[in-house]
Amino acid sequence: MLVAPGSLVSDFLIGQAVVESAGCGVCTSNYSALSFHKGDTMMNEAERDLTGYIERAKKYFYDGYT
Amino acid sequence: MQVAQEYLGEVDARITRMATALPGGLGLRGGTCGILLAGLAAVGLKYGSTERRERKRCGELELRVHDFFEELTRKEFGTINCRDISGCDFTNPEKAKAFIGSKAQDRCALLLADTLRFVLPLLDDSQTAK
Repeated sequence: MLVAPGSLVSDFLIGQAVVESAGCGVCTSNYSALSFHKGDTMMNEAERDLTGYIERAKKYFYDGYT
Repeated sequence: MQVAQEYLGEVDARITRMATALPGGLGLRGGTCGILLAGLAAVGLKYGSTERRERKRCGELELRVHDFFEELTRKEFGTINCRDISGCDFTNPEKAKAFIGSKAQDRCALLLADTLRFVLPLLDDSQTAK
């Protein structure tokens, strides 16, 4: 159990490796097949108010977590 | 990472501590922007797995986050690297100090907000179910 959180978070490293690894046919093919919807943000934000989270994130960014 | 955890309803201080390696482009070296890295890590926190074969969905969402951020920064900065976006070498204490309160810091805060608006909804199962 102690390992799990770190393992889950570190999955993004694999994602980054996939994106950054130019020349891999499989990765490139998967990459181009993915749909990227610019409208996602606005649509989703309307469904759940993110204001509080975003303001808190800015506060953390400027002032730290405590 | 802190806010992503709050959004998911469970905060583990170890993850917040781990994420302190991300700002400044990984260990302050000016590489990939920490905002993007934390966005990807947030997706990993929700959808990642200790089993390699269970990582497909996580990988797909990570690519979406990466594409979003790249699109967001491409026109203005032409890169996803911290040093180009912030214009600051955070390994230099004087430059790092000058960044505080600068317009560049405000620009990074806007990037953070824009990225969160994209990433947080991805952490809702209903938004990502296919």
